[in-house]
Amino acid sequence: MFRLNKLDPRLKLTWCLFLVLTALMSRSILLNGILLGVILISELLSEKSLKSFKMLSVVLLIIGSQVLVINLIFGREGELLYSWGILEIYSGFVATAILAFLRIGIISFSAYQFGIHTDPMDMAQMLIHWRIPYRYAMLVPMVARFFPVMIGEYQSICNSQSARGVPNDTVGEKIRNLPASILPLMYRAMRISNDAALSVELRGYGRHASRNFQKKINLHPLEGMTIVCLIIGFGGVLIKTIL
Amino acid sequence: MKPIIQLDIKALTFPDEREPALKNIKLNINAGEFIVITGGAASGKSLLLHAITSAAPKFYPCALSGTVKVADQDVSPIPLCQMADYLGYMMQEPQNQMVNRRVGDELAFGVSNLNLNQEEIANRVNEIMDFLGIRAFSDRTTDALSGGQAQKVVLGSILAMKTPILLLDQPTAELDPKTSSELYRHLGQLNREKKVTTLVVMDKSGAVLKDAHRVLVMEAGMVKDFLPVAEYQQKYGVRKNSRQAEPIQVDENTDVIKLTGASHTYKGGVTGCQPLNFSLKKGDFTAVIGQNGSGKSTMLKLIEGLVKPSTGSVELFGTPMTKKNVGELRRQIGFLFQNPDDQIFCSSVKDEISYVLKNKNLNEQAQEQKIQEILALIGLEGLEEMHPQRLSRGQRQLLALGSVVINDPELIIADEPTSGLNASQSQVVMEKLARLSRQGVSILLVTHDLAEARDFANRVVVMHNHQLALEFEAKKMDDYLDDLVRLELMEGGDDKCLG
Repeated sequence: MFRLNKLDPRLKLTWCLFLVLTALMSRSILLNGILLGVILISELLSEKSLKSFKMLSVVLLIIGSQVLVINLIFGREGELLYSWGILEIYSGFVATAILAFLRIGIISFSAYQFGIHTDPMDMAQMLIHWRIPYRYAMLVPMVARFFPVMIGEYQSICNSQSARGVPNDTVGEKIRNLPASILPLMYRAMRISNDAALSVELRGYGRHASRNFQKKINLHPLEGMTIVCLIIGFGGVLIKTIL
Repeated sequence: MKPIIQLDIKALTFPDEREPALKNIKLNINAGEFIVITGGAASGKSLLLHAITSAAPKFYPCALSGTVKVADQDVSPIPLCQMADYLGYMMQEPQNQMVNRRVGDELAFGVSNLNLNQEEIANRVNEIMDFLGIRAFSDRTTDALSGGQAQKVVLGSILAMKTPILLLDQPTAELDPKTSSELYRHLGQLNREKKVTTLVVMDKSGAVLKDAHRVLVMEAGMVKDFLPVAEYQQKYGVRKNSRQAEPIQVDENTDVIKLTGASHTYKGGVTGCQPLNFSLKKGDFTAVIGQNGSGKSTMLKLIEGLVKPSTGSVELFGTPMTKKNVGELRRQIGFLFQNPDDQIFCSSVKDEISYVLKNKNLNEQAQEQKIQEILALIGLEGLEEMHPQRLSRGQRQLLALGSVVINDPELIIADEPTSGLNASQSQVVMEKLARLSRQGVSILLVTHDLAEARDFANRVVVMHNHQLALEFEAKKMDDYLDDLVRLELMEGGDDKCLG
């Protein structure tokens, strides 16, 4: 069964870069639409649902509406359709807005897909393969662990404050009470990073020049060939755009 | 027997401090010994472990005069990361020590740093998962673990490194009594079978003494006593039944909290608690006990209005809780959380205590009088201007209690307020709560400490598998030991005891 998280991180990164660069190079709405479709299909094939894209889709729709309004007001492509004072509306604004929206969508979805389907430990190994010292490469999984922990800490502080009578339920209240929540969060962040740093040192982090992994990443020949094909494909798009 | 740890610390002093934090410590610990370290607040127990690991002075800058030797090696020239060859160290707050997203990666973290081959890493991780019984959650993310599970995972990561020495700082602080006993049994087994030298900073339960050889008693940064367990128990005694003599007056006709079939299911269908029927009468002091993950926290969240009931209803002070009145109802309640740092945010003790007075129409003199009364109640007089983060954990918990009590709450909800505190600190916090209870304040206490529930509460309710399973008078707890074993709160056997 096709599962994105089973693929080598180097293939996933190449795929992500291919999508982003092709979207930026090409001005074809059709090609950009196909690329976005491929991302969604690959997600569907792998996860049998697009649930993980739900939140990002909402954000993109909001951004998309803004892109449309900006192009409506400032777009200067195509023929002049309507003019009223300084406001001029050109016929190309819809196409430009769609292209911009597709590009933003491809960049966001491909980066997000790479992020959620690549194990941080695999990313660290990929960096080590690229001769980044493991002390730095291992920061990827450490940061990946730190973020949800700090979100949990923030939530627990908000709950404590809220229960104590500090209004902390709506977004507005959360913003107003930021100082009251941020201060304990900072103490917690400092304490956690301090404890984590000592804990990793005492578990032999940096003891040897290299370190091993429980599960190693391994580039399958087929994955290697796919990477080559993606590079050739991007070369084709590049040449076509230049010519 | 050959000593594996030799300490000759003349003084260990932190910058800007006049008095050494550790002084005149000269002792040897033999290979294969199981040592328990105990002592009052700020007596230097954790710092002693830091000194053995050489984290003090290498990680925590300080001046150390004297020598610390581990396996005949002076630790001062050994880099911190090389200390992993000799010892494994588990600090308090296990969640802080995990650095990987997945449990399996966390277990393999230490052994992977030792650059062992892949097969050996896998063998050790598998071995430790079976030993600690944590295979069931090896694929989980580390931020989804409960306190007890996190404690086992961190311990597993250290045990997998197979170091000859283990240093553990209050390893069962967040565990329920049964899981604590299990963990100590594992440690005892390791010590006996693999001859792992083990040093454990004891929490308040004292269950660790069963497998220990000697007890090191610390006081004011010095060694007060270093005795075999039997002599320690003879000299210091074991925890006795210290049940409060004064009866608690309960108004049986008035409900302060009433849950009627209230349940909560989290997103993704995870059960928080099944329909609960529970009431707390006015003036009552009820303790809620239960295993880790039995639904106690969700029950509290329902009462605090932090989660909505999926079914049933919640009433506080006779009023059904709604989104509109939840703020108003909360103002009549004082909440005391497991981690005082979650609720402390002001920059001085006085500001923290007086925070809730800002919204009250009290003149300056009345405010000052109230603050002094509270400071006297919690025993922090003279520390008004100190930054809360400079206080010990026990003092911070008392400060949190003070900031709650100043609001004259009719009800106090305390969620494991003595977790992470030692016996004497816990006693102080619990006695303050008992005093408030005698003054007519209703108290709902969630605790893992059965002896604490027996000694201070009026009534005990037991949660098991997300529902209320048992309810009895606290003073009759000894009659319910078999039920507590059945509900997996205690280990069975002939030596059933509460702490």
